[in-house]
Amino acid sequence: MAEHALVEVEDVTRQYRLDWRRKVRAVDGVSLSLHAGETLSLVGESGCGKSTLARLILRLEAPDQGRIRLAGEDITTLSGAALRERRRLMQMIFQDPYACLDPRMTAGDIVREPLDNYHIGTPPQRRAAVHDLMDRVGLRRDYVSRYPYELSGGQRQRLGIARALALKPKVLLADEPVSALDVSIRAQVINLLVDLQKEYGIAILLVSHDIDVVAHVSHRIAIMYVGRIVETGPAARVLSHPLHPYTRALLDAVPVAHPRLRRARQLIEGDVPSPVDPPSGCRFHPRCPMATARCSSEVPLLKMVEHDRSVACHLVAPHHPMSPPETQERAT
Amino acid sequence: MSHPQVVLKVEDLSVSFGAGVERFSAVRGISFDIAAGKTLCLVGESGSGKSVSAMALLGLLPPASTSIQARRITLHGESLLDMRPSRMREVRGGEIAFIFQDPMTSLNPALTVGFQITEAIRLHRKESAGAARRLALDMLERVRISDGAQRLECYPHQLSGGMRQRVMIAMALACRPKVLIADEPTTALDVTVQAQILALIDELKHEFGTAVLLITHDFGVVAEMADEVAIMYAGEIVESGPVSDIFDAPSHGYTAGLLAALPKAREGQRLVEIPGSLPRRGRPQTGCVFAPRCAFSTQDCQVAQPVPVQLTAGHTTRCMNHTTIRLGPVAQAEVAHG
Repeated sequence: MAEHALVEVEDVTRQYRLDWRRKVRAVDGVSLSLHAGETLSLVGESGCGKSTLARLILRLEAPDQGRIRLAGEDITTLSGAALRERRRLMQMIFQDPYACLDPRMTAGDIVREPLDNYHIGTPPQRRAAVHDLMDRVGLRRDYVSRYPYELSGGQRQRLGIARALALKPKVLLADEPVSALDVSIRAQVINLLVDLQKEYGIAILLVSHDIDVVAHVSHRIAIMYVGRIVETGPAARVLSHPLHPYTRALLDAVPVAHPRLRRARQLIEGDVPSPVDPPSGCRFHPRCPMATARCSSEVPLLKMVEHDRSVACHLVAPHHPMSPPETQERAT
Repeated sequence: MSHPQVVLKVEDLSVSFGAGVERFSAVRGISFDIAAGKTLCLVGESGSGKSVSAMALLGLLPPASTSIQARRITLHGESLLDMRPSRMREVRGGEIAFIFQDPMTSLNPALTVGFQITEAIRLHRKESAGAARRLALDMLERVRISDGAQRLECYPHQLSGGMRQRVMIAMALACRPKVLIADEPTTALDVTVQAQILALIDELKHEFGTAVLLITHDFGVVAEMADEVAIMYAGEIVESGPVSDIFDAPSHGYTAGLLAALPKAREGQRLVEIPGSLPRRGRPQTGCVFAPRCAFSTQDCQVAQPVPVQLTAGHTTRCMNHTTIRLGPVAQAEVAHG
């Protein structure tokens, strides 16, 4: 792990109590690092813990185990004013731009609120800052007096981004930022995020289940399955040469980009298991076409298989990556 | 292959809500037909009128506030427009089945899955309780639900999302419908489960020769499933044709823009944006509906309403600049990258 990662997550676990005897381990022993100017995508299906992990990093929740560091400083147990001060550096963009904006505030108030909260600048300076932010995300200045209901979905998401940028954060956590948007609007918001990253060197943690969006924007990827990271590495490598059987199944299930590329598939059976009662050993073994007896009893650990590339699978040998039976090239 | 038989034919369907100044026309003059064993994908963004069109076919819209007009809507030659309500009830769920996006809201939470599947079979196929149960078990096996007998006793909340959608498909296909209308059937599902459900719909379509109307906004699903495609924008079908034509030679500014805007694993490249957003209510007074956002629009597009142009067999566009678009950089890049 690099020395000066902006965000370092070390062996973090978070469990919730369902009732007097059952617990859910939403995130189970996850480690990752995020560097300045980099986009790391957390990819996985529903219930895999990707949103919980994002909330833990923001310290909206405290982990049960493990450490979280921001710019080298341990923030795992910070609270109150100290935590509030660190939080300035991290901002979140939410999935549903309809739900995350206060319907009774104008667009201008929404963008200015973080500046008010942290007492930044004088009122005229704040007003100027709001105008700059609106310009930056491509919203007309006269929208400052509009209410969220007067804006379209794409405009609302831009507003959410402007608000997130107000405090000049170093880290943006984007939880499914485009999945609620129409296809024609999606490209606008993705381009905006990429531009902002280049301009300000922001680190982006993107939580998404949309492989196409992930492939377009990510530098690195972490694939999650039922609370654990099963594979992580450079985006291009992971997507073109997936090693973990789950990663392969996930990529294989993505619809083709062109009708000519239709193919017969070896689809994995069954649904994503519930984290309340996860399978023993490797959590993917009941659906894995290659599972052995060992997979059902022993939990595979994340092992380095290539430079900057780790996989948690008994069948992938460290430094001797198993050649996938059918290496699939992702269609472009 | 023999000439495929047209099962469902829709000509010039318009749907509007409200009256007077509040009148809002959601769908304007759309036409399509689907042949047995074929899939037509109706593609569009939210508010483009795709679901409204499907619901209008079956009379599922509130009659008091809706006005539906069409030159012709026929199922195997039988008109759905002036159908007696009793006959419509037979058709609905019997000859034309419906699968919705969210299986949790379309299944009754207070009744077992078994009751709901057998109810449909007993009503439409007039089977005895025992025969209906056997057929239900058989259908559950078809949609790959194991322990069918146990599952029949389950309530919807006891099943996972993928399982519920399978139950919906079992229920829809138990009566061997001639037409299956699937409205965003996999949007609420995970990718691996989506692939299973799509494969299942495709398999059963071939087996039973069902004509499928698949409503979606996802071009991946279209590339995977469609034989024919109709692209809707703001209540109109702007382009339609065989799936390969739509992907290889998009001939409307909207189609070309949408295909170019899809994220692809081309690092460092900006996505092609479609500026602006969908019109909120209806169409502008004059010109092409898409003109304000179109990369190819000319003076004419603002003034005159484009008429449908037939390009090749079955490929039709409502665009005056289709030649430019086909040769345009956007379309060319698309073809090159396949």
